[in-house]
Amino acid sequence: MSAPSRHRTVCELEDGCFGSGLALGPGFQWMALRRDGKRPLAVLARALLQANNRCSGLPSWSEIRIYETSAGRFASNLCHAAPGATGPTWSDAWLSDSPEAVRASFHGHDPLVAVATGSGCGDTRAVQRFRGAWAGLLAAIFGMPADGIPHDRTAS
Amino acid sequence: MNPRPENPLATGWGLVRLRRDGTHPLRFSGRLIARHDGAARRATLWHDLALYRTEQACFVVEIVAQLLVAAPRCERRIRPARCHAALFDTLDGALTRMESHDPSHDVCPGIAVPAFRLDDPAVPAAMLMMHAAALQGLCRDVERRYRIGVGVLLADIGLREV
Repeated sequence: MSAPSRHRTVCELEDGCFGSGLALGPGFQWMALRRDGKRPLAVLARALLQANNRCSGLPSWSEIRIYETSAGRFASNLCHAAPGATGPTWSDAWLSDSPEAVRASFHGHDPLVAVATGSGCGDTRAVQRFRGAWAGLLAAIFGMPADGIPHDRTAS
Repeated sequence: MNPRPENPLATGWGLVRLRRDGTHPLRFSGRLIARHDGAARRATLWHDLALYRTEQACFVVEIVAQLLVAAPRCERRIRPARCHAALFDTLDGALTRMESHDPSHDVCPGIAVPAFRLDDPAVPAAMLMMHAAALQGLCRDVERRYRIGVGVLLADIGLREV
């Protein structure tokens, strides 16, 4: 896919996304990552990992995708979805400068913000199960945080 | 949306007339770029969104708050509760309008929740508190669905040129 024009796309383009002119490695392609409430984030990137905690019994599940961009940063895409829904019920994407910042950004996220009223997360046990599944997903990808304290994404 | 062209995606350019609250309809010659129908299960108020391009290379954003109302004989019907439409010189201006719209402003007493006279002593405080909590929950859900709608609409357009 050719590079999008800054004035003719609805996407927000990553600064420096057109690269240094050096040849990119294999797998790089343009993609638009959905962000609820605002225009998508467009990056020239390649996939590094994709993981989710989809399993039966959860009122909502989460999926994490991490990409390496042509500008040398990391693009993260987080989605929450309900069983049977046609698409994500919550989606966000953002850029980070380092692997540590990527990890901190996810640890600063509370998955309950994405859950709709009346979605089955109303009782304490369902909330604990949902948060536990989220913590399990993070541990599977990043390991446990060194200090055990959640980090704020915006502070990284 | 009300009213809509027959099938703007199929017919391409055409005359479009969009209803606006408190002022005359917005008329222009253009084409639909993308539309999102925000109706969802259990929702009583949601937003339909559309983005148009005019023949003069301007952009139009349409935001319609749709309300599910009870009708006689247990039927339900949908009616537009709030209609916003605006013309912009630039795509960025149109997108900023869509991103910055506060959907909770489209929820108002008498439309999506019962209207009360706050000075009516016959209305118990507990009932007011109960309805305030319900209103808060409704606003939160309306805002959440609106944000999803904007995200889905713009992600559907993705990297294609508008």
